[in-house]
Amino acid sequence: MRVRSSSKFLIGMLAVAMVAALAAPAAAGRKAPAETAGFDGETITLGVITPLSGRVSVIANPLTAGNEMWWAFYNEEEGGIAGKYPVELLKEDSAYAPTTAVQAYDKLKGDVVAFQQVLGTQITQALLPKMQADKAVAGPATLDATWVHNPNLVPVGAPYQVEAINALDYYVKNGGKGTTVCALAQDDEFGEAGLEGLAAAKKALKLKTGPSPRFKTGEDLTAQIQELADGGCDATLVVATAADASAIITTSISLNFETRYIALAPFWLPLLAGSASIADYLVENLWVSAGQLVAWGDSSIPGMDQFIERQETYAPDQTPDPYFIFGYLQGQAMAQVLEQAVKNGDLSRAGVLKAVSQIKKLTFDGLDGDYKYGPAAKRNPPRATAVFGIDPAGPVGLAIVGPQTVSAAAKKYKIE
Amino acid sequence: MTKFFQLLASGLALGAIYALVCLGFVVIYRATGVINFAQAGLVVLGAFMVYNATFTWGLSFWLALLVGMLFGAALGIIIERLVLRQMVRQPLHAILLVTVGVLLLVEPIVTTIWRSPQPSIDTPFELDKLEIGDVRILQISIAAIVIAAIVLAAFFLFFRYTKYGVAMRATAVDQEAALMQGINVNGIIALSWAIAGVVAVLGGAMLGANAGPKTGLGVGIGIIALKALPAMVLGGLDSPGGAVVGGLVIGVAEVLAGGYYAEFAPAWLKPGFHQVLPWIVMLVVLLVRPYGLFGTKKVQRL
Repeated sequence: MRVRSSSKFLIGMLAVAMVAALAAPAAAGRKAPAETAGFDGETITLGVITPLSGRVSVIANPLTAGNEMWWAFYNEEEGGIAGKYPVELLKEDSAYAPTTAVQAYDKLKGDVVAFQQVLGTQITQALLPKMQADKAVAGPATLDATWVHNPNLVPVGAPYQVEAINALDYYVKNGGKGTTVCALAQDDEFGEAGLEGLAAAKKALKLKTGPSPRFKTGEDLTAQIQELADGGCDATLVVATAADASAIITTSISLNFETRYIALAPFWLPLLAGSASIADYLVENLWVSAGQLVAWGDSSIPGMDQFIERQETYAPDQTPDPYFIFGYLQGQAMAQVLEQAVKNGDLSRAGVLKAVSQIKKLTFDGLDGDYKYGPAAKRNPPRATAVFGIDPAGPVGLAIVGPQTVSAAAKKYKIE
Repeated sequence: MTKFFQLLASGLALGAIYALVCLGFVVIYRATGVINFAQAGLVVLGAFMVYNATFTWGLSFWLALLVGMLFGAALGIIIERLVLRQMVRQPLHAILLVTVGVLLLVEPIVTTIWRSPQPSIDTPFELDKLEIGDVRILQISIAAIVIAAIVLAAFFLFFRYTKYGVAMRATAVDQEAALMQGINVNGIIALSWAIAGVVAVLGGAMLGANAGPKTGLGVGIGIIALKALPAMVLGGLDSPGGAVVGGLVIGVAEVLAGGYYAEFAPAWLKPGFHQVLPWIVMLVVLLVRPYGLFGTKKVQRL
């Protein structure tokens, strides 16, 4: 009896020693991250630079609310990053002006671990040199393909170029073959991104193209719409934000310009569908191409029920809004990056930058396609997008007309 | 020709709004000798006030317009009393800069109060059009032309035939002489600001309701309103009639230039040239005829 209990004791001790030996390296890897800018040992602070005021605030406010809802959920139910570091957001208004955004960045950079959201293609472009010098990481609330291979950025979603290619492919396959395709694009980097998509689609789909006037946000669009009307544009790719959506549609109505408008995601605003004076025109003439404008509340979409449950708990007053979902997806992406950084025991800017490169894949519970990460050069975004028509009765004013697909042209599109 | 008439109709609608806003500039200039940059700010605030009255308070468009006009008049008087009157006998450039300061205050105020407004002000016209042959014009744009015509006609009648109108003219010619004649010059200046506030609200409400350039509601309205300045310079700084002509000419020229840009502009000319055309016109007028088409030519005795 004595011998048997001694051997049992020895075996038990051996097992404990083995477990301890195996656990030791892991425990060493999970040492608590040191205090650093934006991390006081207890709370992680992230920055948000977004146009909380002005014309583009109609996008920025729900998008930021989506960021906030994600973190409210994650802090409450997961205990924050690694189950113990809650995350808070520090917001600054960029007014959609690069100079203001640069000031906001300088103000925030010493107080944040990373930037949860930087909204605007032009603004992201303006901040990048500083971010590169500071080794800072940010989630761009813009879908330019330029960001895909940038190590300082954590993009989510299919790029604008892919949105354009897929939608034009759908148009060609659904009665648009041989017709003239034009474009109306903002006179900035966002507009440029959309036109790159048109150029790629033209090559791949052998499109016949017409005029592509540019415009500055907020300006009178009579001339541009007239140019499109004169150009015999059967379809028109619109690369504009919601800030100019009303002006584009109203001017088109006033000039009796009938075309198949194919807009990229930032064009859409749910309240447009509720505007009785333009709703009929929108239903008749507008498609929106997007990866993230998932139908709010559609249980057939994986992750949607969970999203709605969280929204009802943590943002009960939020009305259905596609930008809110995008903000939520951004939160999910940043959480995966920060989990990796804490796992590495390093929440410094350089540590977060390293963590981004170590992520193999960003996942979104099915709300959006997986995004292949790893070293920036090897990233590959989801390329499936859907084409939406306007349905004023729908929760975000949209209804799918062309399901989520990756066109052959989008699959081949090389992201530089 | 359809295209020409289409653009002409759009230009006239834009020009009518410029004329309204320009009248506000002229009235203040005549009363005080100051080019009031804050006028563009009054246009923005006026638009949002009318929006608030329709969207938040649920008033009809016409009632909201009336509320907005009262607000504009009150705001004009408040700015004059609280800010401009403190600047009496200060150098002209200092007063100009104060009006620029008031203008710059408007955007943060508006974006703080109305963070995510609707795209435009609702009107009974919605986006219904009047069609004459192949030319289509939004009814709200016609309303803008009609309102501008009524307001400008009323202003001319007021100016020519009423006691206060005569007092305003006298004050414009010589403030000290007017004072000697028993005219309440301070009251007349306040009245000028009230008129400027009213026409600013009308211009702003029309812009916010998609008349003219159809840009809808937003702080960008202020940029459009500032283009009434070239109209003022073209018409003559102190000429209400010049404001009308200047506004219409600038509006029509801008839209025609935009519409025919693609056909006639040389390759080196960037799109958006029509947006700067009013400022080019202003520059040329200032160089060639600084008192404008109908302004008073200043004569100095040597």
